[in-house]
Amino acid sequence: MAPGMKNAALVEKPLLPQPATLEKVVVETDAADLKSFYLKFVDGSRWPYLPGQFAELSLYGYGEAPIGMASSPTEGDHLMFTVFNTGGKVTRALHRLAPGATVGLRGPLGNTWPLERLRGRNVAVIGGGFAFTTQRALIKYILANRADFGELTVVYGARSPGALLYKPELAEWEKSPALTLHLTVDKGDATWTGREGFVPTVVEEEKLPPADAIALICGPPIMIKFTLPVMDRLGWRPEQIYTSLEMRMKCGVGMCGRCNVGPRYVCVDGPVFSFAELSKLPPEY
Amino acid sequence: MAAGKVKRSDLPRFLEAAKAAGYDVFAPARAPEGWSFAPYEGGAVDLDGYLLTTLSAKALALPQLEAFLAYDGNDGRLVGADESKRLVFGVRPCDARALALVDKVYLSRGFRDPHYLSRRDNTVLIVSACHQPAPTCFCTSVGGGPADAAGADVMAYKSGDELLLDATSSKGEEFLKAAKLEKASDAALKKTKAACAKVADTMAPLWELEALRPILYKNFDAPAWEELAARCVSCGACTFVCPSCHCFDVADEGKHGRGSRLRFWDACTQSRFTLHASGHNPRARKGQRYRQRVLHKFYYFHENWGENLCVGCGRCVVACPVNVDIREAVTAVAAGK
Repeated sequence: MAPGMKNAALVEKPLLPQPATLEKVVVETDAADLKSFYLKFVDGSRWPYLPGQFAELSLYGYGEAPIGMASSPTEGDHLMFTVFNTGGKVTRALHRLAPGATVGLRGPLGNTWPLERLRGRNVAVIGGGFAFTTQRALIKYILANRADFGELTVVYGARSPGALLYKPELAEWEKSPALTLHLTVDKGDATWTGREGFVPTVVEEEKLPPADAIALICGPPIMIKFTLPVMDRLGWRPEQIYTSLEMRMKCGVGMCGRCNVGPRYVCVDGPVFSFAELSKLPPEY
Repeated sequence: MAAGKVKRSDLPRFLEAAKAAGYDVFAPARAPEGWSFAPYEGGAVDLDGYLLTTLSAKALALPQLEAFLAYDGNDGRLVGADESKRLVFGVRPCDARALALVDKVYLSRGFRDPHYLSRRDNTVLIVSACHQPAPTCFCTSVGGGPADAAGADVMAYKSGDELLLDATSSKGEEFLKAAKLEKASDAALKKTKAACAKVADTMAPLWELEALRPILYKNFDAPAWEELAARCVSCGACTFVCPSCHCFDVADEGKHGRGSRLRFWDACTQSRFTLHASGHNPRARKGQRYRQRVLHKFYYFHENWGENLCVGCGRCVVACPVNVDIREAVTAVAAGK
C-alpha cells in the first residue's frame, strides 16, 4: 500500500499538535450533525498530504479524535475536515466552535488511496452516508489532475436528501463532463427529483464495469456488506476494491496499541486496505 | 568489550560511586507489596532474595502515568524530556529483553517518542543473570534465557563472592570504563558464563513456537479463547505487570483552560479499549480481547518484528486473580481446543 506523505516535524514530536485557525464552518446536513471545518495553520505552514490520509484533531481540555482529511492538497493551503458529532467529548466541543477558534492538528497520518494504481485507470467511487469525506478529497484530486486518470464514476447515497454532504459541489459534479455521478437517497422528500434506492442497487443497475478499474468503497458496514456481492457478480476482484477502516485510536502513530486488525495497525499501515489484504486479516474491525 | 569485577560485599560502594558520578541509581528493594526497583539509598543489596520484582522495569522507561504536554488556553508545549542519567541495577534478562522489544514500537515505526527516547538513552541497565528460575518462568520457550543479554548494557554474573560485570553495549562499555573496576579475567568470565548458560538446561521447553505460531493464528476461531477468558474479570493486572505490554490511553486533565495531557497504561483486556464512539466494538467479548493479548504476544508482533512479544517472565501467571495462565492458553489453542 502506498505510504502516506509525512510531516517531518511529527517524526520527533509525534504527540504535539500544531495550532490551526478555524476559518470557516459549514453545516453540511439538515440535522446539523455534520459540519465541515476549514483550517489554516497559525504559522502559515502547509502539510504535504494526499487523499486518504487522516489527522488527529486536538482541543485542549477535551482530547483528540482521528478524522479523515476531506480536502485535497490541490485545493490550496487550507485543510478541511467534515466531522460527525458523535456526542463524544471532542466532536461535541468541535461542533460548538466558531470561526477564529484554534484547533490543534497532528498529521498527516496513515496511508493514502492507492494513487499509483489509480493513475491511468478508470476509478469508481462508491460512498454512503458521512463516510464520503476522504472520497471527496480523492475526487477533487482527480479533477485537478484529470488527464492522469481514466473515467471517474461516483455512486453516492445517503438516507435522505438533507443528509448528503457537499451539496453545492454535488450539483456542479452532476453537470460536469469530467465525471459521472449517480446520486441516490434511501427516501426522497418533496423537493427531491433524483433517484431513490440503496447504493448496492445503484451499483447493480449501473453495472459499474471492472475492466481496467479500481473501486474505492466507504460507507456503513451494511452498505459494504451488500455492495461487495454485487461487485463480485459484475466481475470485480478483491484486489481491485479498496476501503478505508475506522478504529478507535489515541496516538495515530503506532504506539498506543488499540487500532490493530491482526498484525496491521490502521493508523500506520492503513486506513486504506484492499479487500484482498483484508481477506488475509481477522474480521476484527 | 570491557569487563570488571566487584566483590559482592563491595556492591554498596560500587552503587554509591555511580551516584557520585551523577547517576540516579535504582536497585531491587523489598517493599510490603513485593520487590521493586527503588532509588538506591545505601546499604546491602540482597542479590539472592529476589527473582522478579512485582512490577517490571518497564515503568522506568514508560511511567504508569505521565504528563507529556502542558497547555494553557491554545498554547500547548511538550513537557521537557527527563534527561537524568540513570543506572538500574539488577534487572532480569526478561525485563531488559522486553524493553528492547518496546523500543521497536516507540522508536522504530517511523516516529520517535521523545520522552521515551530520552529515558532509554540516559539509562544504563545492569542485567543480573538468573541462577534459579521460578516455576512460572518460561523465557527459554519464547526466545530468551536466564543469561540472555538482549537489551542489556552490562551483564552481571554471580561467581562465588564476586560479581563479574561484562559490557554488552557501547553505553555499558562507557559506564564500565568510567567505573574503573578491577579487571575480570577472561578465563573467569568464560567459566562463569558457561555455568550461567547451563541454567537454561534446567528449564524444559514448553513448545516449539516456530511450528506452533501459524497454528495459533489458524485457530483464530477456536472455542478455547472464550473458554479460557470466561473467568477473566478484565482487571488488567496481566498487562500492568507485563514488561512488554506498552499500550496507553490519553486524557486531558485541567481546569479553566489550563492543564496537562496525560498518557497512562491501558489494557487490551478491558472492553472500552476498542469501543468506538458509535457504540461499535470490534472486541466486545472477553474471549476476543484475550485472543488479542495472546496473539499480539505470539503472532502479530512476530509478523512485524520477527520476535515474540512475550518474554516468559510469568508475572501475568502469578498476578492473575483467577488463575488465567498464558502458557495453558497457547497450549490449548495450539491443540485446536
